[in-house]
Amino acid sequence: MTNIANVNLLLVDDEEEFITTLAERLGIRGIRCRTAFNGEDALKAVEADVPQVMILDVMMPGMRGLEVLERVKKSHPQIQVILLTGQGSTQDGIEGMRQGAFDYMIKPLNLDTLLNKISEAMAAQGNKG
Amino acid sequence: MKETEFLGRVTAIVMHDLQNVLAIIKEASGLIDDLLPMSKGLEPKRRDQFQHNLGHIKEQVDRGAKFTELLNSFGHSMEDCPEGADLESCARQIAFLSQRFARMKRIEFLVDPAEERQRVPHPRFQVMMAVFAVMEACLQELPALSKVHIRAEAVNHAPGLCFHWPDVLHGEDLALPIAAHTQGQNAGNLPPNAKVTSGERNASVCLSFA
Repeated sequence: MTNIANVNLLLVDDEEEFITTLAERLGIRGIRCRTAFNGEDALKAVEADVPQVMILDVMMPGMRGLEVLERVKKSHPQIQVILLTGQGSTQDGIEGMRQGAFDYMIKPLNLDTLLNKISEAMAAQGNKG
Repeated sequence: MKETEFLGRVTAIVMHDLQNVLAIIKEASGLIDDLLPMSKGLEPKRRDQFQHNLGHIKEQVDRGAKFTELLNSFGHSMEDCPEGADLESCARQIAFLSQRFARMKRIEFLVDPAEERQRVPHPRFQVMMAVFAVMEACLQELPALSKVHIRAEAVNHAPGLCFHWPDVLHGEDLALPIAAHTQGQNAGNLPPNAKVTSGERNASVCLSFA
């Protein structure tokens, strides 16, 4: 399993309580991450410091997750994106994977599964150089 | 947009919000769980109480997630599905969603795995409505503590679902009254070409789709 303690991670979701609590839990596990609460801020955060892995909600108001994904993959194809979907929007997750997302997960999350996916995403990024 | 589609879409939207609510509760309780071992001054008894109750929260979040998953799928069941409705999956879904009705009568519906997949060219909500009609008939006629096994199987070469209550005393006498609940003025609860008849096995009825 790839060591994820030093991952440059960006969490993007309009549900602020969800994403800040998740960031805090990851912090307890030694993983520092940045957060953005909408697509526009996410793109700015990417330009300010290119993350290795991005956790991205697909159902956000304003710029939707799949649009953010498209733009990010165009400008920084090396970023591995893990999409967050609800049960009713798994089709978006599948579509996102077609557009280059690394994987998708359904809310509510299982933290151990998320950590494994981040590790796999980092390994995949390493392979891409 | 048809009324059923409208109801389905609104249900699916609300379910998405509910999933977010559950996700926040799960992360917040997870954070408390993470922080507990770091709380040095906490009495062991209090720590156990916290952990015990965090366990309840996690269980209920998982339960809620299962409900939202199935209710979301239920919301989408009004949409046309090109491959048709899978009878076992429809039975599983409606049996789970309506388990409270069954619990109130202390009756349990158990969906057994089918030997062969049965599909019908109807929207899923129509199939679920038909399954629900038979379940309601069972709830009216069967005694408390009955267990009803539901299994998708061919009925006279047509796709169908059999409802079987093997452990009910004189259960064979209840097949006709149960079938009668879905006939006559109640036949509208079934999709076109569907019917409920006494099953070949004792103590059973079959819902078939010609």
